[in-house]
Amino acid sequence: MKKIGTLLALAFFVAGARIPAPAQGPEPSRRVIYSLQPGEEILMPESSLCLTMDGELVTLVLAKGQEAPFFVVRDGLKKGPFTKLDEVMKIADEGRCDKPLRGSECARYDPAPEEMDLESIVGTDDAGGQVIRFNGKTYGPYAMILNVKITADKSRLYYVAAEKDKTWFACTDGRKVQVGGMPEDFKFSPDGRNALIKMTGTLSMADMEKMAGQAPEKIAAAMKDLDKKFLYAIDGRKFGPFENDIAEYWFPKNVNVFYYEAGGRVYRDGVAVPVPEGFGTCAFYPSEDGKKYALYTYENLIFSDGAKYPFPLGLLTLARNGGTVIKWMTLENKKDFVVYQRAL
Amino acid sequence: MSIKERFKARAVLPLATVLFLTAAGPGPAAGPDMDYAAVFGAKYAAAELFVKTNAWISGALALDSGEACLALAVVFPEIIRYSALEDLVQVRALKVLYVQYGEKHANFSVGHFQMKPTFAEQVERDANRLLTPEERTAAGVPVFATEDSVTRRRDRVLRLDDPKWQARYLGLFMRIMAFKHRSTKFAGPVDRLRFYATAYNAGYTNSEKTIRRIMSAKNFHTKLFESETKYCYADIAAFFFARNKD
Repeated sequence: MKKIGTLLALAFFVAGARIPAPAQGPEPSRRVIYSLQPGEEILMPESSLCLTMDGELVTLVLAKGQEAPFFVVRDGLKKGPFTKLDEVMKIADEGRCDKPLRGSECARYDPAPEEMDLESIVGTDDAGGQVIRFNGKTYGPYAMILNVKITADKSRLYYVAAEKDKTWFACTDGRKVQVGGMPEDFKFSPDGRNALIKMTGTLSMADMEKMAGQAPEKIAAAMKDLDKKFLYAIDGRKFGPFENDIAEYWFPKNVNVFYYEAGGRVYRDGVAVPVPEGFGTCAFYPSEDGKKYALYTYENLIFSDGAKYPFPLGLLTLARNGGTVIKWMTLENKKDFVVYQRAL
Repeated sequence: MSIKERFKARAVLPLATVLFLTAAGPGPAAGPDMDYAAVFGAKYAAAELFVKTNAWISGALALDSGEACLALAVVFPEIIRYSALEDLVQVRALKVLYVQYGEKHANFSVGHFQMKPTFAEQVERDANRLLTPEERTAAGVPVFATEDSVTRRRDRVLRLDDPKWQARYLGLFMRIMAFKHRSTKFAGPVDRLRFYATAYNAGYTNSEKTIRRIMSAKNFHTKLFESETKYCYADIAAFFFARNKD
């Protein structure tokens, strides 16, 4: 115990210059979860998914010089030795790696599509129109259902539906917005309550049909309509036209407000906002009110209050007291795995 | 068509298109005898779709069309692997460890072409050393700063994150191989492809003798961890080449 304490003190002393105290804002909590023993290495090739944080859990797979015997460190406890890699991976992955890890390294909310039985959700009524049946209720009829997605908590279903001269972006909670043009895709927020759809042009299906018999120059002029892009929020707000496309539109993983990037500017909830140097949609964690942020780069985790923490290996956002808490891990002094945590 | 069929059709149409397009090419009889499209199924189709829908790659390689075709075949098995593991592999932490501590933590693969930082480092050194300024200009790359520092490693990782840069690295690899093995006798384009593909997969700094020796080795799999069923990397590359060379 004394030895560990000495090592930790030494680690702080040596690494002191590289762990700057924040200029403002909360001091992060710091916890050493494991110190590599002499000769011990993190198992690197292709097994990186084990170097993740999941709530309060941190799992590391270790080996002596990349070969057996293998060890697993989970929740601070070291298990092993194991001689077979598949044996050790079973323990490391138990209960956490059964779901796809899609998007887990990115700040954008990009969940894997929820599985659904389309046949039971989308059907026809007696008159031949298409309807949506979800959680005991029926929505429609429409001439055509174009897209459906279920939120992560499965409480809502968003859909795009077309009638001859109208297109709808709707939610099974009763909100329904008439949108123009051709639908591209839509995204919803982590809590499933907010959503945004990207549309191309303004012409309806009926307008497109009418164009069929017209002169080529009229068709060419009408086709220019397709150069315009729009965004519609599920609350009825419309943004655009954007002549040069929309570079990105997204919900950050930790908040329920949408962002989009168009014409070289970033907009939050429809309002242009400044973004920090090094901004990327995958690296940017804003606060719920948009006044604070954390930027997650390969070299640093940078907070909007000026605090900078070097070499974050993995990052997790936690919802606490109506705000976001950021938890991240580093490897300090080539041996100490340290977990930090602070409010955004 | 029912809504279900329409949704299904949306999902399968590109794959069907690929199958249609590839069915027109020469079959397994023209190359290695195993049908890798059948072996890898949807992963193969996804990889082929990636190649067909990203025609810009050929341009970014900055090679003539014959060499570009060969280069795509060299990396095609890696694209299959990436298609299989894309949603499972997390490499961000490994990238950070590499930026922070360097080469000892460089054993991980990035992107569709599954390039390792050590590969990029070697290509940069060799591009500086072996290629003329005109060749580097043609390849669209500068003289690389190769001193070992956090900044240089970060820049390298950012380049590996960029698909256009992966294509440039691949183009440089083809040029470097052509230079290093300018005296090597190849039995034909397929033999050269198998040699290049093995070098790409196993390390192009290996000697000609070593590369030749391991050209038929079965080390390739698409599992996250070790797999009992493994395939020959060069065979898969040659299979793709045979079906797409025209």
